[in-house]
This record gives sequence, C-alpha cells and structure tokens, in this order.
Amino acid sequence: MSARDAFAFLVGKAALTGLRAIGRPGYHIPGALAYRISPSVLQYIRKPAEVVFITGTNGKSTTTSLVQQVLAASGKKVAYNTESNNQPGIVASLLRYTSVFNRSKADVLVLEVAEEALSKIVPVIHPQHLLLTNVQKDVPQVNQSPNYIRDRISEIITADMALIVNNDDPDVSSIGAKWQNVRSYGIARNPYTLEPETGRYAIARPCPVCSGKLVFDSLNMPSIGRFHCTKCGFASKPVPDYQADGFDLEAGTITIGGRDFPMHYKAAHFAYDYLLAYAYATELGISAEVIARAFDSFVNIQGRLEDIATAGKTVHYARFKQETPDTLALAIENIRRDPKPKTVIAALNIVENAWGPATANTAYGFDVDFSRLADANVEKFLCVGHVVAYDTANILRYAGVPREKLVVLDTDDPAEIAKLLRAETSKDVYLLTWLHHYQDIRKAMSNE
Amino acid sequence: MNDTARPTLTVNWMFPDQLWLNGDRGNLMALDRLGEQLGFDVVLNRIEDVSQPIPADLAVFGSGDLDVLTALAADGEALRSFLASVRRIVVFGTTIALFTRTTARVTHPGFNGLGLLPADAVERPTDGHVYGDDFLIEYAPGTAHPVAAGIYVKTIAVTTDAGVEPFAKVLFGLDNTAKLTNTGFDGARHDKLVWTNLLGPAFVRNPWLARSLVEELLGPLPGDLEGEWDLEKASLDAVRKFIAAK
Repeated sequence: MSARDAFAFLVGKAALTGLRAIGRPGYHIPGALAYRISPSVLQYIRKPAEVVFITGTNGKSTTTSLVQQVLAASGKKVAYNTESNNQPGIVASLLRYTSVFNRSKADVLVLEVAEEALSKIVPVIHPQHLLLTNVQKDVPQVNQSPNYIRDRISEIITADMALIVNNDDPDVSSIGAKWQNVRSYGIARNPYTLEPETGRYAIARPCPVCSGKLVFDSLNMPSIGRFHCTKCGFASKPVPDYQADGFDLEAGTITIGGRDFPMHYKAAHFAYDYLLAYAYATELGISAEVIARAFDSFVNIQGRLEDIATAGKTVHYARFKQETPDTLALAIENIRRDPKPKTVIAALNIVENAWGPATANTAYGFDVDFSRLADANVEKFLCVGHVVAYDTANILRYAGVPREKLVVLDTDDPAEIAKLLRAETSKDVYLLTWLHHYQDIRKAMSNE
Repeated sequence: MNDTARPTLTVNWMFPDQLWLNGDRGNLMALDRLGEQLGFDVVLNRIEDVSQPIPADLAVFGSGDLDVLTALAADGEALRSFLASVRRIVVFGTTIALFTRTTARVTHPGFNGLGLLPADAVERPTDGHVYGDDFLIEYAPGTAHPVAAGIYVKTIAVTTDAGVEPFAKVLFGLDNTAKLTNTGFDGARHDKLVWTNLLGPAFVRNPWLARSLVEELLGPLPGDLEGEWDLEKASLDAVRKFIAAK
C-alpha cells in the first residue's frame, strides 16, 4: 500500500465520475488509467467479504452475468466485471463499487478471470469459490495447449477454496479430482446430445491424467460430454452433484432436479452456464424460486447470439472465438440446426489478439468437422477475410463443399461485407465470425 | 493407368488422438486428396498401439503437447522398433521432442527421446511468451514451388548437431533454436526422418510440398495440378504480401 496506490485509486475514481458525467460508458478507461499509474492499486482497493471467480476457456462472461443476476435477485449487492477479465478490467470493476473513501459498496464480488491472469490476481484477491467452465484449445501462440491452460488454473487452487467443476469437461474434471471441497455439474444425455465422430479422420483427445487416448461416449458440446480414458480409466462421474436432466431450446427451458427453469438463450452451450449458476446459487442456499426468477429476467451481454432483420432477409450472427475450434464447431451446429435454405458468410479473418502478432492462421478450422455444413442446406458460401479467405474456402472444399458453391473475397472491410449481406438474395444469411468483427459489420450495416 | 497399376501409399497416422494440437488431421486429408488427383491409393492406418510393427511408406506425427510426448517417450523402445518398418517419418512441430536425445522442461521433469535426430530440445519459458506467428520457408530452391507457408507454434528450442541437414531455410519466423528471426533454418532431414515446424496444416496449405514428399517415396507421378491449386496459390501470394507488410 503506498501513496502511489491511493493516488491511482483517486485518479481512477475521478475518471469514472467524469465519464459518467458526460454520459460515456467505457468503464475500462478508469481501470486502465489507475493500473497504469500503479499496478498494485488492485491490492489497495477494498473488496467485498465474499468473492467468487469464474474461469475457463468459454462461458465465463455469460456465467458471470447469470451469477450476478441470481445474487442480485437474492437481495445481495453485487460487484462484478463487465469489461475485460484481466487486471485493468478488474480494477475498473472494483472502482465502480467502491466509495471515494475506499469502502466497498458490495456484499459479493463476482469476477470473470482469464486463465492466464489468475496467477497475478489470486494473490491479491482470494476467492472463496472458484467456478470452472471448461478448458479447450485456445490461441495456441500464447496458450500452447489445453494442458498449459489447465496448469495455469491448477497452480492457484488452495484447499480453502470451494470448487464447482464441469463433470463433462475432462480437463476441468481432472482438476476437481485432486481436491476435497468440490461439487460437480453436468448434463445428462438428452435429445440434443451428439454422437462422437467416427469417420476416417475422426479424432478424440489425450487424457489429462495419463496422456493416453480419451474417448467421449456422448457429446453435449464439442469436447464436452461423458468420457473415459482407454488407458488409465479416468472418467466423468456417472451422476454429478448437480445434473441437468435436459433442456428444450424451443420452449426455452432447462430442467434441473425435475424442475423447469427459464433459459431464454437458445443454444446448447448456454445450458452449462445456467447450470453452473444454479449450482453456485444452490450452494449459497438461494432458493429455486429466486433462481428461476433471475433466469427469467436474465439479459445476456450483447452480441452472443442475435438475429437482425435487414433488406428483406434475416442475418443470423453465428459467433465463434478465433483459434478456439470448439466455439467454431458450436457455431456450425447452430447453423446446421436451421433447416431452411441459407447463405453462409464465413469470415475467419486474420487472428488478432492483445498478446501477439496478427497471424494468418486457419489451422484450427481442421479441428472442426466442417462437413456438418456441407449437407446443411447451404446454397452458397461467401468466404471473406483479408489473406485467409482462400484458406477458409479450402477448408470448405476439403469438407466436401463443391467449388462452384464457394465465393472468395480477400477483404475484411466491414463496409464491403455489409454490402454483400444486403445484396444477398437468400432470405437467411448466417454470418460466421468473431465478436468484434461482427460488431463492426453490424455498425456498417446500420450506417448504410 | 488401370487399377492394377495404381500405386499405393501406405500411411501410418501416429497417435491421431494425442498429437492433435493444430488441425493436424488436415495433413492426412491432403494426402488423400493428392491420391485422388494423381491416381494413387492411400491406405491409412490409425496407430495407437506400437507393440506390433505395421510396415508403411510414411509415418506421420502431428504436433503434440510436451506432457503427451513425455508419456509417449516412456514407451520409446517399442516405438523405435515400430518405426523400423517405416520408410519415411514426417514430424510436425513440437513433436520432434520425441525424436531428439533429450528435452529439458521448465517446470516438469525433462525426458529422453528416441535419439533418431542428433539434437537436444529445451522448452521455452512459459510465462508471457508468444510462441507463434506466420511462417515462410524455402524448402526446395530452384524448383517450381520452392516456398511453403503456414504458421509455427514453437514451444521448444532445438539445437541439432553440426552436419545435420536442415529441412528448409527460414524466410519469415523463428528458426529451430528460437534465437534467429527471419533467417536461420527450419526442421531437419536425417536418415529417414523429415521434420518441419510448418503448421497450417502444412500439406493443406502447400500441396506441392506434400507432392514432393510423396514422390520421394512413390517416384514421379504424372499429372499437372497447377489448376487444382488455385486457392492454395492465391493463399500463398496473399500471405507473402501480408508478411512483407508486417
């Protein structure tokens, strides 16, 4: 604790107040400013007594929002992060819920924390609960492999933390297997369950315990389902502590313990986020009624899944995270679920992230079974993207899409893509791209 | 060419469920496609158990995690015997650690590899590191397709003994030792081992590279594929411009 920390804190608070006064959002700016003045400001800011972290490759943001919603519905004052999930983002969030005299105004702190940031944050903010979503391939230039990500999570866990782990994710499940204070959650086989690939190029994955061959018996999401290792026998539990019996995407419900809860976001992967929020809330003693009410009024952060009506057609956003093949596979399943004739705009794009160089990487496309799109009533594929459009088209060609269905455009200009979208004759157009690119394209569409 | 005259390429796809980090199965798809285009059959054996040798023209090792390679190296003698009946071994990326003499690790115990490549590997530090980028190499100077493009994810630095022939010259990206940028050498050719750090998958993005390796085994194969490689050639051109502007 130093005068520099106090100064950084006050500058952050002043910036926050100033931004609020002029009606500007962008809460990350005060956090970035304070963190830049003093990185130890995170330690200086007082935190609520109760702290929960949510981490994992995918599902952090939605789960964080759900947990916040449920806790708020139970009457607690909740501080949580809405911007980035690294140190400056967390400083920004804490500034919002701390008085100018550095007193916390919240009962609970709910933080989404990036796996690579855990080792920096846990020594400063110690969570009582750690909620683990999943561990998947993600940005290999930085994260190497799922093993590396799993190690980053494992190394910060201490015996006093209560863990809630995904029973259907091998890596997360293997973390839970090492500790005593653990609850597990998972989804039973249901009508949306997928069978594992069996074709000539089918691949499973290595076991996180012994590195032998691990196979999935069924899949609720890519790389997530009931599994067992063919070498050491490590396996998902037959019945986890919290089990969803199933979910109904048409009705918008998830069934847990025989009771239907609202689930208005209609994609299979959200079911795990709802279930994890349910499990945590139940551990805290929050009633099913309160949880149901919170789920019913839950509004997700923008851009996760949405449709736009424009120029006589519907543009469906199919989101994925770059270099995270399981999210790409999920997006493909969401497109496939629509039986109508359609055009798909595949915008894989140059990989950009905060940590490394921009890279023309599409290798992760071969971790995904694109042949699921080849017979999904897609009339045309528009492959767009600076540099990588040709490789994207090639992935589709390998997946069995005839060359005459492929149109290739070497551009990532949102205005050009917006024009393409408007000119499309198909009534349903799926835009397969990452979030920021989608936001730019949507903005360009509204500017036209 | 009638069916009886069709050559066959027998490929042992090594540990497909464990060496899987960077879309590596695309390389097997590329061999199949090349077979369709050039008129040879591809027999694809998925190898999970190396206790019994299965003769093959080619053994393909995808890119793998160091924990997995540590586990595979523990059964090194069986693997060495298995590979004795294979004519050519192609290794991508970090998996070369399985073939070097030793690999030193940062926070885990190191391990001994098969020693089929006279070299030693050292894991690169794992905090705050960026391991990958675009990759451009010159592997066949003086030919119609001298260059191949892709990416690398270099989690180990490899030092080969003096005299070991490199696979290619690095035009853009890190060299084997992870010390030189945009210069130095990529991979190695040693006895029947061919190693490159080129990922992408390498055979998909550079079918000319796959063809040259197949022709080393089956002999020259008639057939002009330049027209078939429209997307791949356009990709290479685009990547070269992209890299030049970096």
